[in-house]
Amino acid sequence: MPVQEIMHRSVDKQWFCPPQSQAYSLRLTWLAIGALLWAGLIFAKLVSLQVIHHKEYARLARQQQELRVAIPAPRGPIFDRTGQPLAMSIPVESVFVNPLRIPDMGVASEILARILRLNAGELRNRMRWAYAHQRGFLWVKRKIPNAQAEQLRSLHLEWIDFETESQRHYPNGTLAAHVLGSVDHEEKGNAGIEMTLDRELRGREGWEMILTDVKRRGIDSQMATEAHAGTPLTLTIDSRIQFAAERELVKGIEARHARTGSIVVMNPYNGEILALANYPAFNPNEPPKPGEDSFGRFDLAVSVPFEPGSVFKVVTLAAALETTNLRPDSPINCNKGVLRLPGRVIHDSHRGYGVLPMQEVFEKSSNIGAIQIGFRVGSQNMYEYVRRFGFGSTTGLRLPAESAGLFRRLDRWGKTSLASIAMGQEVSTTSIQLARACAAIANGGLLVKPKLILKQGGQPTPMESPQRILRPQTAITMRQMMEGVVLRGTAKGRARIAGYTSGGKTGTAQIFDVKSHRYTHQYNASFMGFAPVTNPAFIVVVTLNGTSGSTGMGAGAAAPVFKAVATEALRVLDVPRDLPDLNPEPERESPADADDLSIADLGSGEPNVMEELAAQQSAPGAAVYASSDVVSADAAPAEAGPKVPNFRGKTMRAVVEEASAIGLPVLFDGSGIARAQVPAPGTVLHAGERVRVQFAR
Amino acid sequence: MATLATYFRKDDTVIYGEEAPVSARRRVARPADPYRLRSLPNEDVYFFCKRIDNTRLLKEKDPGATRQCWSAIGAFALLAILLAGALAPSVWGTFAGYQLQALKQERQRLIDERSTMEVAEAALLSPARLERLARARRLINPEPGQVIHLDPHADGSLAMNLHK
Repeated sequence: MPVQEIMHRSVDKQWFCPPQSQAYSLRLTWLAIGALLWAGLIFAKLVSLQVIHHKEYARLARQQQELRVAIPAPRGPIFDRTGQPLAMSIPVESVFVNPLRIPDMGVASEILARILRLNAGELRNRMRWAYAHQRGFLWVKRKIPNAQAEQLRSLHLEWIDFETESQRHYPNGTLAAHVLGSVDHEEKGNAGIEMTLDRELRGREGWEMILTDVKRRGIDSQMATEAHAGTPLTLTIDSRIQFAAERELVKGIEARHARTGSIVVMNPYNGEILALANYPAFNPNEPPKPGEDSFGRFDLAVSVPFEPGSVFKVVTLAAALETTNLRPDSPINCNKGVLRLPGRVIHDSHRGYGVLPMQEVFEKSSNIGAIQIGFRVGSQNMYEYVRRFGFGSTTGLRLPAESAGLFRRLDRWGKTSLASIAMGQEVSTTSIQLARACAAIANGGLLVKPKLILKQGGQPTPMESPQRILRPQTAITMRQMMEGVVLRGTAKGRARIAGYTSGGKTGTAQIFDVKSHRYTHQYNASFMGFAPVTNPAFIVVVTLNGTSGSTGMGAGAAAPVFKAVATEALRVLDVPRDLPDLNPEPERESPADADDLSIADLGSGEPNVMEELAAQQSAPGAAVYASSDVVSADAAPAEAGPKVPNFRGKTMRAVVEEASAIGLPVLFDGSGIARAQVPAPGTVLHAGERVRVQFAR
Repeated sequence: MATLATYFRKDDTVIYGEEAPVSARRRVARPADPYRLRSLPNEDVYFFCKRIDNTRLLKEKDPGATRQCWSAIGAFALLAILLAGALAPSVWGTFAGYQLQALKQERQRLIDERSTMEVAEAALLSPARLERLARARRLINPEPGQVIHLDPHADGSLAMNLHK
């Protein structure tokens, strides 16, 4: 058939070319029906996806597109008062593996062990155990150094993964370790300030949801929970003084073969602790090893009380100045070094003295003299003043496990308790309590609360109002007497500081052995002092525990440490000199070193205060002591008080100096030149009396 | 124009057409040679290319159509611009988001790095290390009397004051 014919026939057929309107209408109808069906199907699918299964698909989409990321909230840093960091938290990597995805555990353990310095066999066993128990997660090593993390990352092994954690660093190592404390592996404080202020220091981690693309790159983020970083703390500690204190403490302990020791350096006016050092120390960067003796982590200055010995005579004499008419030049009978008490004979450790002025009793640290003064004070007053100085109660320092020491209630005092307490026995104190007492002398009679936190979150912490416990005149007199100890007394040549005046008191107490129920021939050598005398910049309390021999006394062992620490602290604090910068007289070794030893032989079979403290028993009625003192202040011979000098015509400054020199309490009225005074010049002043001076221009 | 199959099967047509009736051609076909190509449908339809010369025809100008065309182009362009304008913030936001997230990560990295460096600095400045360095260089604390306190000049300077 020719082609033209075929084509012609095809074109002529009716069905092939129907009328246009009809054909379009039919096709459009079918097309519309098809489109509607298609649209219906799509709509149905959309309803299924977005309404019926909305939650499920939304969850799947979130899982795929959103990333939950932790916002780190590092633990608050701790600084010293100069802004030097003492403790900081930095992010570090922890490495973990998925044992179910490890192709070859032998090779994997070898790789990891070599980089992370682990035991390959042990790691392989752990991996196998995890695999056998179908565990998909196994910590390999936590908090690894950045270099190791980078090395592992460069391997690009899919079964190794990392998690960022925070690690506490103490960049100064052992410096102020007992103050700072330490944290556990979860960065929870377990000692020191880290423990006491854990809630403030601990940050609260936040979370944010990050919308990611297919390559897990972040596009948008939405904060879920806000992170709260830990509160930064600024301590009152000065790292330079702290370092000097720790260094000199170690030197002193090594030189005198002591076992332990502590030093407290404190600002006497506001109670700020400038240094608190203990020996032995520990490195808070290193967690305690299994079986390690935890004694090195004890804050001895705060938690471990001891019998103070002769340093406690400061309290006795301050009470005497306040409650009796005794003055520094008042004669005290030292009974030639022997004093018989009910059931007990007390000997002075040095050669016996006869009658000495009270100042010399203090300078030579005569036990008999201190007891005689204590008798003048009386049990009630002594009890009250010991309590006023804060002994027997905690100082409120924000450190854990602070000990209140032990000071028995008055109704539990024994027959010789007053005598014992007057020379620093039958009472146990901590170094921080001694520091507070010494600060009261140094600041003019105010009991301040020791303070360790200078700023919290950038805000200065408020200072609690100090409590007046001594008259300013008493404190000034005590300062002068304590200067006498350094210039002429037991600490002569050992605590003098070039260019500065200094005052202090030595103390040596025998250590009581609870097991053998006896005092040993080992000592608690201590020294508490301040510098300069006129306007003390700080007080220092040094305690060396476990010294022995004549060089292990307070003067020989603790006073030189005081001198070294005070010299450094004066330089660091840039305190103006009040003396020519000359070398003080060289140290001496003489029998007088033993002068401050408190002979501790009880002789009456009564339980020792340290024994009682160790037993943690304080039940009332358990004491065997009588309720009243055998020797009371009334029994002592009446002592004439100081005569009132003639202040007329003198300036107020001159009156203050003259009155302070003899320990007279003076009340001032007006200003200018002294015109009148009551009582009249030459009158003997009795206990509790004061001189009123009227000034006019 | 014939295909190769048509060409090679010309003899088939001859056999079927000449030796048997049409009815029998279908029923009694010779056993097919499996190696022979089969004919394609409509193989006998021939097409040819006819050359048409339209160069003599001239398109009549239609200003209305042109206007409509440009209007359409303008409308589409406007629509495209509006669409782009509407989508631009979203796109910009996405890119900004990428940048923001990258900057956030960088910021956190720098914060972490600073913390690490502060710790390192504090360790370097620790009193114990400074003491070691001082000892290594044989530095000592001045003895009493060795420290000379200079009185400042009127202008407050202290330098070279000792020799005046």
